Amino acid sequence: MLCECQQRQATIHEVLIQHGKKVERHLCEQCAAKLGVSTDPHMPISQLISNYISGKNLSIPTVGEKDQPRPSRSKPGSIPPCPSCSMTYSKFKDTGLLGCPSCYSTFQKRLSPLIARAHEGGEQHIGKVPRRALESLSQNEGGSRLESLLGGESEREQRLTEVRKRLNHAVEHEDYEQAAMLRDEMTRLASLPSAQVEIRSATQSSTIKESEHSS
Amino acid sequence: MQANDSSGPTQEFPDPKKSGTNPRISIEGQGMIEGGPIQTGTTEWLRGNGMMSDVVMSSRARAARNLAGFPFPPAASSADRSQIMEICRRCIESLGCPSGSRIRWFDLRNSEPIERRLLVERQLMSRQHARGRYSNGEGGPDSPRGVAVIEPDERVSILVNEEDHLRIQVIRSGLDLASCLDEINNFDDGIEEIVDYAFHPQFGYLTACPTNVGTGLRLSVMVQLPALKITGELEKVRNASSDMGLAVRGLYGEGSQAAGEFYQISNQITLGRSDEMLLREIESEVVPSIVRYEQHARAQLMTENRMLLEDKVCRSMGILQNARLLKPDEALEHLGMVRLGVLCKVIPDVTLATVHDLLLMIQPGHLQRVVGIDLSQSERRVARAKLVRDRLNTK
Repeated sequence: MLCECQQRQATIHEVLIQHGKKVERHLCEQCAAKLGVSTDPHMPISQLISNYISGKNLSIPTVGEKDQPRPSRSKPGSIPPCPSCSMTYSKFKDTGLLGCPSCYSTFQKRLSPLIARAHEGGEQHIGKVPRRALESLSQNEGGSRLESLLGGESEREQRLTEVRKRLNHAVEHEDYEQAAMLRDEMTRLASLPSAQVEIRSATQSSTIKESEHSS
Repeated sequence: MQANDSSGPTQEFPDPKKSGTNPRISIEGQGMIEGGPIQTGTTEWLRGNGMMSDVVMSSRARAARNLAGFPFPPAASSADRSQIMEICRRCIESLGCPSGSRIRWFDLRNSEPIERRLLVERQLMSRQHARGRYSNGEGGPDSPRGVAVIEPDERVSILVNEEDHLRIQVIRSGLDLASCLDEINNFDDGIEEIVDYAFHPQFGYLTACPTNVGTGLRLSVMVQLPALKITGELEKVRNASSDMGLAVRGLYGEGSQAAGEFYQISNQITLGRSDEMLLREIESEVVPSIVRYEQHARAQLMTENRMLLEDKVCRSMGILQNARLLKPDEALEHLGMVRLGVLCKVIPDVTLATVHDLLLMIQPGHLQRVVGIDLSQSERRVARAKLVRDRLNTK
């Protein structure tokens, strides 16, 4: 049987239970590694559980056809531990917990497909960005990443309209605590599209070395 | 370390006393009350008002945040956790809160078990935080951790050193996730003024467990679906929700059985969808359709199958008014049915407030606090039955 890539023999056969439906996948070793599918047919139960937790889908790898060579096991020592907290990838696989923020960069290649599976294909953060991170992001690169982080303008507009409506309601009902909160939220939302303009004058308190995260 | 995790391999965790970046602490102590008694009266989320409150008990939003430059709590040493806790505590203290309210800080290392229990029962923190043990086996009852609660309405609580450094939670009565989110943003922005968060341009807000990265946001709504249970349509709701990437869990009790038919609906996905998208999906699409479904089932029971409805409600009422021993799950189950009876006007002389109050008071911690002495499990069952009898036999 050919792999989904139509180039090599499929040696890894995966059965996924997704929303109660059985989905079968047949992959070659290279594609499996790319998609983060385990090539180890004797996955320890703890890993199976942590995959289940992090992937949400129950993945049962089945042994390849008998005449096919056994997929090589990945050696646990092959990925260096996190330089900041010395967390190892195999320990992460056992517990489902990372050691520190730097682990995300250290294990980025391995983590990306896992994270995408856990979030039903979501690979790129969209939405709120810490103000200082936003400042340094816009100093270091163009607006495209910013736009993708912040979500579409129409979406923000919609939320802004919604917040404005609730602000009026709060003022009418003399709920000033709520009104103040909504006013702050409006300021935040309204400042996002023009963030780049403001940022030029902002202090260079932090820098993000984006090159390390290019993906 | 900077506002994300991009430090090179040689960089170590900074000493916050020396480092200019994180944490930037400016403390203008507006006062925070340390420890002290937890209120046992009714709490904001049980007020029974707000949108769609016949079906929706409460809305809750939670944001997971971590400080840049520190290991996540489960992997941190006890000394690290102490330091993180001190930074977060001072940070929360400097936030201040609206007039008429106050921040109460509970250092959970020194707290009484009953105090921790009350905080869990009032949904101000998780069971895991009460135990202090992380899912990787680290930590324990003495692990440095705490929780800040904004009183008197207890809408906001900020957990320090749970699985993440900070978990900001807002809980409100009825369907009102938008306000919860606004309030979270308010506190989130305030904290971010003082410290640098761990943030990654691709993965968003970084969290100990990768299932929470992205927005770090969990929006959940507690609904009661007793009529759908009676009409046997509950499974449809569960399936439809899970198809949308939402989890439906029983609120009380372990496993899939939910005593009293209280369910929590929450998002599973936090990466690739903005907070606004999540909010719209849950608050404007999923929950209102579930609510209509339940309301329709209730209307149907009232008109077409009234005897069945009355029988179920009155049996439950009978047990609660007469039982001499009551287990928590049993009490919840029947209180759930009585709540349905009150809303469907089968039971005219009990108020929703009484039912909601009992939902809280029958729980072990609250019961103990009200009775005032340490009780064994069997003594609690007696006390619980008496409390419920006294409140429901008003004549």
